[in-house]
Amino acid sequence: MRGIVWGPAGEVGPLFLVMWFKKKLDQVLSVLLVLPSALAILVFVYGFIALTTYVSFSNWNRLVPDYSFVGAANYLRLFQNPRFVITLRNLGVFTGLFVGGSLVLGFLLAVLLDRRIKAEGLFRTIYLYPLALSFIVTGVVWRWLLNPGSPQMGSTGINLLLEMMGLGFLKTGWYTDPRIGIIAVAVAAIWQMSGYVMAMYLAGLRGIPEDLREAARVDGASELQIYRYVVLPLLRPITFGALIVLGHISLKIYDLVVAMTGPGPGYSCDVPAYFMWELTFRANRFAQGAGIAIILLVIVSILIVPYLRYSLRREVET
Amino acid sequence: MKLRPARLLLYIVLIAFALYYLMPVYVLVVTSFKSFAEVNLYRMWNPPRTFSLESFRRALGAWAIKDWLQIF
Repeated sequence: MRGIVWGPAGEVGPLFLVMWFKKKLDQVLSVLLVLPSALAILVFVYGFIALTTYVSFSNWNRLVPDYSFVGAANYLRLFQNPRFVITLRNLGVFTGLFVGGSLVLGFLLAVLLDRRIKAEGLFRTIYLYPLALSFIVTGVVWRWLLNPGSPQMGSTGINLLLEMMGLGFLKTGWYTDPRIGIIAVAVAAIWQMSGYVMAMYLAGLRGIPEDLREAARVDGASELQIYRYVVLPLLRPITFGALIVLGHISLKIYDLVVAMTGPGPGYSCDVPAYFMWELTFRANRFAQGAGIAIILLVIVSILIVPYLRYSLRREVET
Repeated sequence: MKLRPARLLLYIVLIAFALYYLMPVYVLVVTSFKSFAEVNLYRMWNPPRTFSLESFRRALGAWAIKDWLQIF
């Protein structure tokens, strides 16, 4: 059967030759078409990750570049820096509150909206619109809203609102209080992103056929049990997707902090991305800044890699 | 259609959340129509006493539409 083998070998006629050329042309063309973007990603993403990694091991801690290798010294100094340790702890608190809060609030809203509400579209739009704002706008508004005011002049923003509703005991210093500074930032972030989670969950809830709930009801499950044992497991891919989206936003949070608080009192609102910017472009410690960048990259990878494995495996299965 | 109590509660909760999401935008809009002298953190929830478009004029001025038009 040598005649069927692709290629000019054997007793092939002109038709085979034409088809062979066409196939080769297709292959070459497809490679050529992918090449520009592949090259750009190779240089501008992976190339610069490699460069940043290299800088983080170098001695470039002033304005003039100095690429001499110093090993892990920059990382050691970072972890001895109390401010960096505080930013890492803040990042942990912020991510926990922001991701957890958005997931819970988003799920709650989706469940409430899924009960055949009148004017559902209106509510949906109102809940979702903060997503359309930038973190800078959110930061500026919430900076006003969470401004605690002063004892002499009276309260402002949310505190004033609480006072007017007779809930004055709930007043706090928000982002001016070093103990809860980062929580105030998380409140603003939850306000912005929970509507997005609501939209994802609502889409998921609409995808669950009524038969399944009906079957559970016939089996004697209460409404709460239906959500716990039927709905939530079916929504697991959505929870997972929302977790990834919120997680990577949360770990890279920078603009909200800049617009809202800056580092805050005692660095209580500081996050690694902000510290990285200050260290690199204000203090000219490029190597240490690069070190923070690499640490952030590792943290985000810990979050993303399981997701990639999960989604790739599912693509193979389907 | 008569509203059952549970249904009413549901709507109250939904409207309360809607107010929570709209609150910052209320502040933004109200503040944008105040004159510069009137903007004050301690009276941020009050509607503007005099309707003023001064802030929009300034913002658009900073945007410098004319300069951009000259480029084209």
